[in-house]
Amino acid sequence: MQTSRINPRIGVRRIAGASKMLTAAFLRSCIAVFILCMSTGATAQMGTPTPLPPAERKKAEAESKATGALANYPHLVDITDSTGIHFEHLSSPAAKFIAESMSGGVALIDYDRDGWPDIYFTNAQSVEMALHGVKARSALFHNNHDGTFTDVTEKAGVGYPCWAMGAVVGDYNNDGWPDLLVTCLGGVVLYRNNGDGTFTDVTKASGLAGDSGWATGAAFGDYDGDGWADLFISHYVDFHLDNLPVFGSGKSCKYLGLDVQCGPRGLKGSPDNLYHSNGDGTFTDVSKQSGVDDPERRYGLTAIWSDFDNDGKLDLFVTNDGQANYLYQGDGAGKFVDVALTSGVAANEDGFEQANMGVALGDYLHTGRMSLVLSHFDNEYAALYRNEGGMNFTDASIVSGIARGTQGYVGWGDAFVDFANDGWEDFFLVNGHVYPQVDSAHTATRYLEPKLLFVNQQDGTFRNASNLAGEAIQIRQVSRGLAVGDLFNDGKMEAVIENLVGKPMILRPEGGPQNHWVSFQLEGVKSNRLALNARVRATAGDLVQLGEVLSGGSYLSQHDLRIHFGLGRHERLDQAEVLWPDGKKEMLTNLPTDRFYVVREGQGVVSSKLPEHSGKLP
Amino acid sequence: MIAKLGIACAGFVLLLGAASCLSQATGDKQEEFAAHIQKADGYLRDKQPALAIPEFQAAVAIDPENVDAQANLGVLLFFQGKAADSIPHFRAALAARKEERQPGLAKIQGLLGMAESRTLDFADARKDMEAAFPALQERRFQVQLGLELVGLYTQSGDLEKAALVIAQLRKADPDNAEVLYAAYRTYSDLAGESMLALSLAAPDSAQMHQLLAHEDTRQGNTNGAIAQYRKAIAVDPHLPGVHFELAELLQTSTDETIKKEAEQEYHAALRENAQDEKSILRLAEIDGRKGNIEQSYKEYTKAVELQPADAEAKLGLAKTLIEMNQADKALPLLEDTVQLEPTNATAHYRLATLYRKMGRVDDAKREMDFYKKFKEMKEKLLALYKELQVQPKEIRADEQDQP
Repeated sequence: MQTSRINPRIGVRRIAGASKMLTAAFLRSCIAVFILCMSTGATAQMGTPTPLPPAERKKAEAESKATGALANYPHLVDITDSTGIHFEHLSSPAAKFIAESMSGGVALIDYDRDGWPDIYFTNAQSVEMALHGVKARSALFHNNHDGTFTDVTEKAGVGYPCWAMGAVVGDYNNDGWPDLLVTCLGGVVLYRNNGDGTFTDVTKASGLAGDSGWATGAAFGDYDGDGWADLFISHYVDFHLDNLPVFGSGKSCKYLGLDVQCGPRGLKGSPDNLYHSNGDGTFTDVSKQSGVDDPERRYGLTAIWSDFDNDGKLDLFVTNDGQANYLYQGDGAGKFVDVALTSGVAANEDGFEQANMGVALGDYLHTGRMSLVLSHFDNEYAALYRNEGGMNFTDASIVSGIARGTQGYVGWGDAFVDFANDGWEDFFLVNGHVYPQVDSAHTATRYLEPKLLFVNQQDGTFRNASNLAGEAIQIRQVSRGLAVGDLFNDGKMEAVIENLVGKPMILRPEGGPQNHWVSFQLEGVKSNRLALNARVRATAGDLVQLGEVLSGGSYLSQHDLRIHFGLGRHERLDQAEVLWPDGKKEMLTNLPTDRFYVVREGQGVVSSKLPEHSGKLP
Repeated sequence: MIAKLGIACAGFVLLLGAASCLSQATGDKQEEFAAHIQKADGYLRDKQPALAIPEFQAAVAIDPENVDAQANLGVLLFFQGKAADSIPHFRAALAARKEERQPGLAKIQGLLGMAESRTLDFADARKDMEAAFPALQERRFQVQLGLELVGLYTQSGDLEKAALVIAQLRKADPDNAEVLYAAYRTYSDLAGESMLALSLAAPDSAQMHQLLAHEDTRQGNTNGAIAQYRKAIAVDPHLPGVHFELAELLQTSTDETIKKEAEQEYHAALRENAQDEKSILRLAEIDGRKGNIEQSYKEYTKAVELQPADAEAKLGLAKTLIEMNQADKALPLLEDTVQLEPTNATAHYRLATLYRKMGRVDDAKREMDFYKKFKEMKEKLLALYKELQVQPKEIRADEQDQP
């Protein structure tokens, strides 16, 4: 949707008296929108158009034309076929309903605790399939430690949870085995990990069966420090198969003059929920008393817990599609206050609310504070909110260079990830349009879109290297979920991408510098067993990084729970300070690099392993 | 355009009701007169105006020059729907007044005008309303009478006079929906009249094409409007404002070629008038989007120099300065912007952000509150506009869309 201004000569008189504040210019802009809508038939889409400001377009053009290789940077190679993973996300060619466009979260979960990440892909049927009783099969793939995976879905019993949207990992019963929560069009499904390669649906027994809305994002986090992970679930649109919005009908079902699926605008939103762990494997809904119940029913998508102001108390960030985000500041005792607006993360730098979808969280600037990047719709750009401390964020999208490379794409899963192991996290984003119909519009916009890679320049800016890191990320797909982790335990971070249409893509960094790295798996004892939201501050010479164990994030996805640090040329880690969720600190010093460390709360390093090299690795 | 009279007679009667002391009669007649008035007052207190009427009639039969009795009787008859019967009593009251501008009688003259209007005596109605309108103190009645007067002017095609009354009404009651609608209708009628006059006087003129372009724009026919502007330029390339107006439409296109044309038209506007601030402002925006930040900065600066009261120019310059890492220079511009255009939500947001970074917490909070207020207001208006353009059939479809 274009912005425009009315011809000032048309003239609108200034209103006096009680309406003095309603100036002519204000009316002018409103009437301009009215006239524009009348003349072009443009309708509401997700988010607010965000024109790219001065200087950025030129740079964007130059970057988009750059070719060749990026010095000292690995290529991201598509290894999907060699992994033996055969999975296809179901899809509807026309995507006539919004529920057919939003699925595709992917989770990395070491369900058998062998130290190797396994992969769970969510799946969703089309409306037509659902109406005919056809179910979509989600799939769990076991990591064979040799570069391949085996489909263990049936044995695990996690194939048909629901119309699945995304998945996150948590240990709801504190037994040390990671459990799996699947968000659905119609509530959630909680799978208890039985520790023997199987899962049991404990949704009802755990008290989560009452969650019946369109659940999207979810995140486990122990907000009150009782050692048990609580659970936040965001909800999107109030959508029911027995009352379907009519494709192309109404003004919120048009895009570039084309008939498209309706929503989210024009549809009712759905409120969010926070469930407090009772410490016995059950939950109690505390949404309202905690202040995170979303009474405005915003279109919630991804959620993530973190301590944004470093006060030792967990806060909660929730993206809302086309509406103001929530940043709930926690008091550590179960009460939250939304400070998104005053913190500068509710809207973009002009105060426009955007189509907020995925969340990347990381300390990309080595300030010791967690910043955010949110993925957005194609008429906007990904927004980087730099954490300045004290719950103060600056929209650094433009100055960082993220904005200019991301405009024009519909972004979903995103992550800060150090593919090069140079100690500075890069930004990776997967894309894919919502409407298949865009291909018939006479514009450059396409349904299939490439992935984008921005290399950290170590000065607060990023370089768009999307055309410089191999051909695989330039392949156009309709991507949704993204999870990053060291799939093959060799110190390299892979990216697992789930696509809405067709098979997934697994990218592996190859070549580039042989930098050092270190990986930490944290185990809570007094703290929650998975040590969610525990942090490690790793120091190697002048390189000081901060990592955090996170449940959820990206777009309805789950990254590797281990904290990975690239260390560049540093051959030792001078110190690793572990900040446990209960506030205690543990200092580890003089650690050899290129190892996997398991650190148990209060016991220090309990395991240290070198990579298990295998000639069969991809 | 006859407004319904949403006022009660009580206000009129009570203002005058206690006045029986002005009787011109003497002796028994005076006592009889006083008795009728007393009875009438009693009925009025008991809210039985119909019973008060014969008492007032009896009273004025005794003392026809009693202003209050005549006025009260006229008021009661008028509000009983007996406009014709009320007229002689209003006139008698006015004829018997001791001062030309006796307080309270302006209302009576206003009611007389209304009664005359209802009896189709429009000439006298207009005369009495015109006389009463400027003297009225009570806003509610002034608005009602003014709207009736506007109706009379509109009926007789005297739109300029209607517009003058509308202007006073808007000053008196700026949020009154009836007044605002009357304003809209009057100005629309004036525009229609002007269009008709122009089409008769100079049907092939550049101004006629320019006018038709405005009409097309109003109706959402952008292509038609562009065609009319081009015709206007063909007739008179120096027509004031025409290049800018054409550019404004062209720049709404998503087609880059058409956008380039828009830019050319802004330049053409500047060739006609080098001080055309709005065209300079648009070129600043275009250069900004192209990444010509220095040029953009120069143009914004020039626009602000030419028109220091243009909030849009100041905001644009402020945003450019922020991008140039000169937030200190941007701050006063943003402060000016919110003074010039208090409803600009973006300016408040930007200002709040700068204050927050400077640690001016209270100022930041205040500006953020303004941002929220005006954002919400604008969203409501936009929703209203969206509703307006939806046809009834589509409205039904939208309603069905709601799960």
